[in-house]
Amino acid sequence: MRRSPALLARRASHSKNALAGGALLVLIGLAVVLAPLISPYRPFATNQRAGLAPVSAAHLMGTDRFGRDIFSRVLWGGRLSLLVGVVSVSLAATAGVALGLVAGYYGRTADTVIMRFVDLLVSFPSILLALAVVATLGSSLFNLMIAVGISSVPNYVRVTRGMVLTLKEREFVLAARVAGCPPYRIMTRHILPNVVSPLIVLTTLGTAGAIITGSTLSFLGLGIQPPTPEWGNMLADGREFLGTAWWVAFFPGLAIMLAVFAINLLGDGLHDVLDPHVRL
Amino acid sequence: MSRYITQRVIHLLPILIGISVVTFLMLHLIPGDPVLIFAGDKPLTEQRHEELRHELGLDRPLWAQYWTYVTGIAHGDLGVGLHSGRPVLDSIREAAPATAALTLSALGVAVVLGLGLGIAAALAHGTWFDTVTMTIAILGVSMPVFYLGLLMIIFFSFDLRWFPATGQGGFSHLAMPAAALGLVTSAVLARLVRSSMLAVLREDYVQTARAKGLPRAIVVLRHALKNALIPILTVLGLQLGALLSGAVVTETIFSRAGLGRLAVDAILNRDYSLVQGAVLFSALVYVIANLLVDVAYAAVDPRIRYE
Repeated sequence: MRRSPALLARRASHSKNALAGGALLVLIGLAVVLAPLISPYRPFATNQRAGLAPVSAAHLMGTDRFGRDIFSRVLWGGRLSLLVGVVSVSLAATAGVALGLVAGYYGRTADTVIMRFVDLLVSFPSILLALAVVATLGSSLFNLMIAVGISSVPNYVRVTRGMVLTLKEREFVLAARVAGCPPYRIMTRHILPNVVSPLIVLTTLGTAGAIITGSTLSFLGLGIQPPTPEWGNMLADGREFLGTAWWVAFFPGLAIMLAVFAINLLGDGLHDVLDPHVRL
Repeated sequence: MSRYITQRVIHLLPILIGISVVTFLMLHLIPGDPVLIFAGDKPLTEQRHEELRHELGLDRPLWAQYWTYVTGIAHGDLGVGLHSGRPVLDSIREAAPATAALTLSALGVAVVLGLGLGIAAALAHGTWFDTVTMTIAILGVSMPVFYLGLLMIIFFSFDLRWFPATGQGGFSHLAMPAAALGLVTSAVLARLVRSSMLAVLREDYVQTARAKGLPRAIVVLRHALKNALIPILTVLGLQLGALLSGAVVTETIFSRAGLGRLAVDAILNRDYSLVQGAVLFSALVYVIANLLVDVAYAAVDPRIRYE
């Protein structure tokens, strides 16, 4: 079931979605990581005389009400927005895959308990679950990541568990068991590598959703708080000036959209690359 | 069919209990002394502190408090808002209709656009229409609802002055919020409808129907669509959750009063009873909606009824 990395790489080079999405993502990622080097102004630097200035050569994306350069804040804010997205997905995937492996491999009680828990998580709409977590635990950065991640855990559990159930009775697993391989090793060395393909697509697309959820929470005032720049709370800042200084909200939102668009393209491309039925 | 429905309802019970446990625990997981949370920011004397503890039942064992909470819900008593001072149920009852109107109209927009464009794209597979529609769909999926809403306000409210930016009332106040929420959801649906239809159109029975000489419309609508509906219905159920979540954001942007605004304001005001009530209510609505989707599922695919 495992295909050679060379074959996958070749397929990926034929997928327009994967290439376009990947390229755009690398561009955005570099811009954001290099923010300290390329940002023309410091993100917290105010300038009252240049408040709400429109797009110009001096301020590529205009300024906000405090005269802070929006382009710089978009670059710096991207670090937090993307960080929240990536870390929360990693947390969710780790927890979800672990639970899925246990539920699928051990079955019976463990399976029932874990799947009931998953059903419970699924019965809350995602933002409401995130709201509940933030309301209860407070809006620190770490809690925000938990809040964003927790509603996607069920996906990982279900996909992993499904794969485990399919693979559990295959010869190579039975052979490993007969050879005395402990369950932990069977799960990690033998089963897990085969689950990687659907998980790659899931985590890629999941990151897109996580970025949106994270910035939504910050937009609502429940995530990263101003003055720390983050795409979501910058959008909230710009709400008051939609008619007068549209750039304050427009550019952070555009950043979110482009980042998520790139990830979705990449995810779609990867899905095609990893799906043996698709001809590339 | 009725056996299937009964089965699904029974399956619901542990979930309903779980939801009530989670919302109950919400208040008790908040860091800090619960008594102080209930009292607000007023300073308390030792004696008053103890009195309040007893009044609120916080000195009783956890399971007893839970029992009071659950029996309260059964009687429609969700407590009193810590900040608003009004019974939580009343606040919810006032806010719910606006949210329902928004969610249902957005769902309508999403279904009509999503189904329509998805089927059209599947039928026009490989043509420019397909590519253009799907690219727009990916853009739509990538666009956060609040951004689309803001863009619409900039364009339609300030530039063109067609629709009011905030508030509620009649159709003109509902149009933009419903469109914003519906468009994003329709993008998700369109992509799924298209791939589902493409998979079905490749099946043998579709070839047979065509070979029999049936008109294309009948083949698509009667034979293909019905089978493509099954995964679509599943996603529709999940999208209902996304719609509820999206309603929270949409209401905030367009300053519409509704459950979403209620919940967010409650959190910002530290009105935990209200948050608890709103979350409980929304979860219940979502669970019931999914039950309806399950029933629709069984109505469409007879095999499911006999599992």
